[in-house]
Amino acid sequence: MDLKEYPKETILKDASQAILRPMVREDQDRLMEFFRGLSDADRLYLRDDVTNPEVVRSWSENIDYEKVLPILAIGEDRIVGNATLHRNPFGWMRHVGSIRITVAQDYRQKGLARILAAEVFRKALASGLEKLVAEMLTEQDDARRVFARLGFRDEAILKDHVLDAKGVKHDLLIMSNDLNLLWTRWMEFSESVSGTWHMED
Amino acid sequence: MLLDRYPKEVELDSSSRVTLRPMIRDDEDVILEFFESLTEQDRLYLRNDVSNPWVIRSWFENIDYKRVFPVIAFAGEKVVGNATLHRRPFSWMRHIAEIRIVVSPQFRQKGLARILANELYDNAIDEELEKLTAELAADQKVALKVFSRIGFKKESTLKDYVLDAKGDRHDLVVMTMNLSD
Repeated sequence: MDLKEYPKETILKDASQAILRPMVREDQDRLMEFFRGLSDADRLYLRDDVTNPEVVRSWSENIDYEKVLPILAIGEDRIVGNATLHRNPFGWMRHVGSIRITVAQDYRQKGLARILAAEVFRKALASGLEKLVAEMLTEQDDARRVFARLGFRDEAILKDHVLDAKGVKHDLLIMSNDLNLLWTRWMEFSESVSGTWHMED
Repeated sequence: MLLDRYPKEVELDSSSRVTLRPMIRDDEDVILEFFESLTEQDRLYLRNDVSNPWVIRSWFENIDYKRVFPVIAFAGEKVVGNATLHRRPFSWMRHIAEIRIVVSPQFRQKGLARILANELYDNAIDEELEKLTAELAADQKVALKVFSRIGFKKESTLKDYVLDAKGDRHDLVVMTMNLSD
C-alpha cells in the first residue's frame, strides 16, 4: 500500500491541528494510553477488549498494512483518534473492507472522525476494494446516523451477536456501502456539511 | 479443552473408517496435499485462497486452539476432511464461533461433514460458547442443506459479499445456531 503521503497535517474545526499517520510498532504505549483514556461507557461497546495489554501488544507487534491499516491522529503529542481498515487479501471477501473509528473524548465534535473516515475511504478505494462495511450495535444511534449520512445502508442484523464489556448481549448491525458510490456521496457531503458528529459516545 | 478424546475412530460405512484428531504443526504437508486434491469447482467457494502456500503456512505458524480449533479426518495417512472452529477471544464476539468444513470429494455423502460438525459442536459446548455461525455462498446448495439439517438457520444474507476464485460475486448467507437454548 502506498503510504508516502504520511505523515500529514490536518486542521480541525476548532482550528487545532492533528497529524495523521499509519501506526508503527513504537506506538504501543501511546495506543494503550489512548484506550485507557476512554470512558467506561466508550469502552463498553468497543469490539476488542482494549484494557487487555496483550490485545494491544499483538496489534502493534503484528503490523501488516495489507490486512489492517491503522491510521492514527496525533494531537499534542498523544493519540487522539484511531481509524482502521481491515481486509483479508487472500479470502473470498478480498473485495470487502471493514472500517472502525475511535476518537478521544476531548477531540469529539471537531470533525476528526470524518477526517479519519475520509482517509480510510481513500485507502480502501486505492487498494481496489468494492465494498466497505461498518459493524455496530443496533442501539449506537450516533454511529448509525453518521454512517447513514455517508451513504451506508443497514444490511443485516445478527441477533445477540455482541457481548459487551459488562456481559450484556446486543444485536449487531452490519451497514455497508458500495465504495464508488460512497466516494461520490462523501465528496458531496464534505462540501455541503461542516459536520458536527462524533462516534461511540 | 478436552483433547483427551482424540484420536477418535469413526465408521462412516462398511467400507470406510476415519480417524479424527486436532491438527498439529507436523500436518502442513498432508493438509497442503488435501487442498491440492480438491477440484477447481470445490476450490471456487473456499473462504481462503488455499492455492497460495503462504496462506496455509500461516495457519501452521499460528496454531492456537483457543482461536482456531482445527479437526482433521484421516483415512489412513491421507486427509479426507478438515473442519475448523474460529473464535475471537477478547472481543465482543467472544461468545460466538464460526464453523468451516471441507470434505474431499471421495468422502462426501457419507455423513463426514456432519461428524466433523459434531466435533466442533462438542468443543463449542466445552468452551461454553453461545452461538455458532456458518458462512456460505448462496449457491452452495448442498452445504446449505447440510447445515440446516444439523440445526443451523439462515439468519441473514449479505449482498455480493463473496468474490469467488473466478472473480464472480455471490451473496453470502450467514447461518446460525443457538447453543444456549
